[in-house]
Formats: sequence, structure tokens, C-alpha cells
Amino acid sequence: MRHATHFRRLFVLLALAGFAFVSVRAKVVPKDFGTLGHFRASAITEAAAREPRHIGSDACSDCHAKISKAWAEGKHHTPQCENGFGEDLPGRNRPKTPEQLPVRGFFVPKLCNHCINTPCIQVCPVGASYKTKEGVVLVDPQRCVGCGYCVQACPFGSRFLNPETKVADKCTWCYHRITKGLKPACVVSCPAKARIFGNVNDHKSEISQILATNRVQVLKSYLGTNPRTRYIGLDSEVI
Amino acid sequence: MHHFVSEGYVLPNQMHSYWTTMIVLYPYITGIVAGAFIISSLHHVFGKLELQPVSRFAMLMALAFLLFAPLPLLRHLGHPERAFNIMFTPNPTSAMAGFGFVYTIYLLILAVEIWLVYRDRFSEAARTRIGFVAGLLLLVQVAAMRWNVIMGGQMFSKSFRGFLTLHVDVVGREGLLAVGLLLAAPFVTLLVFSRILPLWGSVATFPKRWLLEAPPAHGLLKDFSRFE
Repeated sequence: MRHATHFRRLFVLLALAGFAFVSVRAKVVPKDFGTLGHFRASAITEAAAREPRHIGSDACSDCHAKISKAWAEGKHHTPQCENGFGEDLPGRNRPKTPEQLPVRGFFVPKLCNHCINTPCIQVCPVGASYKTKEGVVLVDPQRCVGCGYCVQACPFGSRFLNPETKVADKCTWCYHRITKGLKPACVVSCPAKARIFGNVNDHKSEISQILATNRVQVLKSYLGTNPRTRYIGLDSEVI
Repeated sequence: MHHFVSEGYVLPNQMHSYWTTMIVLYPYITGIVAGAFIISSLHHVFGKLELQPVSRFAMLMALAFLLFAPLPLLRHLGHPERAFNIMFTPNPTSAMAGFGFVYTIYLLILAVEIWLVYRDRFSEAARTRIGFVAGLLLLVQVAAMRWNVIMGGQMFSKSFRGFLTLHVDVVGREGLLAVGLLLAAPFVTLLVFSRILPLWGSVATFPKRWLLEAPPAHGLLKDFSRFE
């Protein structure tokens, strides 16, 4: 009987402590957290509210006039340019002699795949990564603690820790542009028109036509993340 | 503080933030939390009278360090003000958030237990002293506790001998729940590691690796035993 009383008192105290925790949580956590999912709902509108800056198709050629000119004249066939090898950073082993040059080069732009089964959202410990109703995967910069777990979880290496804001950052498919009816900046600025963005549910859209008439691949399909970013004519070596 | 190093290739996540002193502080603090709680439980749960002088303060110490355990890590990451996010909004699908759940339950039980242990002192203090004076006296009292008893190690060895002939009284002891959580902590750690490190979670490769590594290890052991 004495033990039973003890336990009853203990559980009352535990319930009181739990109540205190829940009331503190209600004060600290934003009100709209969890209304649309395990994330802050107003983060979507904040991401969409960014002001889109004008990106014209001359964005590349403004700075890389030489490369753009070579591409326009059809001379851009060697992989030895900055585009093919990445930025020349210190400490990188750049090929010095012709023998060190690779036989064949691949150029695979690795943007966020905006997967349907996202490993990055699954592992976020604080509910800072989320998916909008359009399927765009975003990061809430106000909740993210910068632990980097999602950076490690992404099989495509699309996420990174922003050195300025100290939180995880990623390609947003220019969510602030596409919600205003604009195309993403990379689609607009690509001089080769290599990137196509559109609604796959609309069967008359350009993207639907291209998906229906081309061989398209996704990166690392064996992982089952079901990416939304697709590549036309991708070599099997780079998947 | 941040050392960003790029390996000069194209993937965005090739920029690393390397850990410094702060990563050492985290296991240090959690070790203090667990150790202080064990010392307190040895008296309150298992009835070791030798630890009575410090058992109450050990509980307070566990609470104080538990509250600030994630702070150094997040200070290093750049957002110390978000240290409680993992406790307030833990994502149920994340392995790392397991710490958040365990910490929260641990914190609640610790708060309840501190209330139970200190309630007589609370009422006494409320009667006789108020505010700052009470806190100051508490600090003086704390400083007067003989910490060298524990640091000396003699008492700890005695209590360790007591472990060998221990009869656990299961029912009616409040601290037992918290001890269970404490025992669950290494398994949560293992779970997190098995998720983070691919080899740990891979059932297929482990027995093969053991089979491959066992013969050379056995040979090495034999070699070392020959030298003796």
C-alpha cells in the first residue's frame, strides 16, 4: 500500500514536470510549427518572399566572355576549361603534362535532386528541413542548428554548410522565383539551354514532351530516393 | 574557429567544418552528468550511506550540466541560441533526435527527483531565509561538502566492492526509472553510430570481416605471448 502511494505521488509529480515542459515548449517553439508537417509553416512563405534579381541569358558571358565565344564558335569541345574541371583552387592536382590529361571528361551538374523519398529531411533532428506542397525540399534557416547530419545523409552531395549563416543550405530550385511564375536562375542563364524546368503533370508542357521523347536517367536510382531531377543521355559511368 | 577546407572539386558538400576543443567538451559534460547521477543514485537507490554527504549536490550538478550539455557543440556550429531545439522539436524519424527524447525524459525525472530530495530543505529555507541569502548559504553549504572524499577514490572503491554483493530493491525506489534511462544511453549511442557509419549497420559484411581478421589477430596474440 505504501509503495502504491509512492508511485501515485511520483506519477503526479512526473505529470506536473511534463506539464511544465509542455508549457515552456509552447512559449519557445513558434506557433505555426507542426501545422503542415514537422517544420515551421511560415518558413515556406519566407523562402518564397525573397526578391528575385534579374538573371539574363548573358549572365555567363558577362564574366566568361572567352568561354562563351569559344562555345558559340563550336570550339568548346575539350574538357580542359574551368567548366569541365571546376574552379582552380589551391591544393588541387591539376594535370600538368598532356599525359596526365584524362582520356574523356564528363560534365554532370550536381544540383539538388529534390527527391520524393528524402534522406535529408528524415535525418534532420530539429525539423528544419521540409518539403513544400510543390515538392521542393527546403531548409528553414531559423530552426537549423547546423549539425550537418543532412549534409552527410544526402547521397548526391547537394547540401552544404553555409559559412556565413552557419546553417545548412542547398539549391532551392529558386523557390522565390518559381512561386512568382519565373524560371529558376540556372535555367534562365544557361547559354546552352541545357536545363529545362516545368510541370510534369501538365502533359503539354515542354518538360513533359522531352521526358516522353528522350531517354532520361536519374542519379543513383538504386538508392530509391526517387529524384525529381532527371538527366538526358547520362553516361552510366557518372550515375 | 571554423576551418573550411575545400578539396577543389565540384560537389557543394566538400567544404568541411573541422571539430576543435568543443567536441571534447561534450563527452566531458555528459560524463559529468552520468557520473554525478550514478553517485546520487548509489545513495538514493542503492542505499550506499558513504555517499550521503554528496548525493544531493550530485543531483543538482547533474541537472546543471545536463541543461548545458549541447551548448558547446552548438557554440562551435555557430548557433548556441538553438541548443534546446533538439529537446523542444525532436524529429521522430531522425536517429540523432534520440538524444533529444532521452535528454528530455531524463531532465523531467531529474527535476522530479530533485524536488523530492530537496523539498524539506525548500520549506525550511522558505521559512527562515529569503532570496539571495538563501542561495548564498546553499553555495556555502555546497562548498563545505567534502568532495575530496570522492576524489580520493577510497570511498569509490568501497562502494564498488558493495556492488559485488548488491541486492537491488526494485519496488518503491524513485530513482530506478532514471537509472534505466542511464543504462539505455549507450544503446542510443550505438543506434546513432549504426545509422551514421554504414559499416556498423551492415549485417552482411560484419561476420565476413571478423572471419578475415580473426586468424591474423590470433597469430599476433600468439607472437606476443611468446615474448613473455
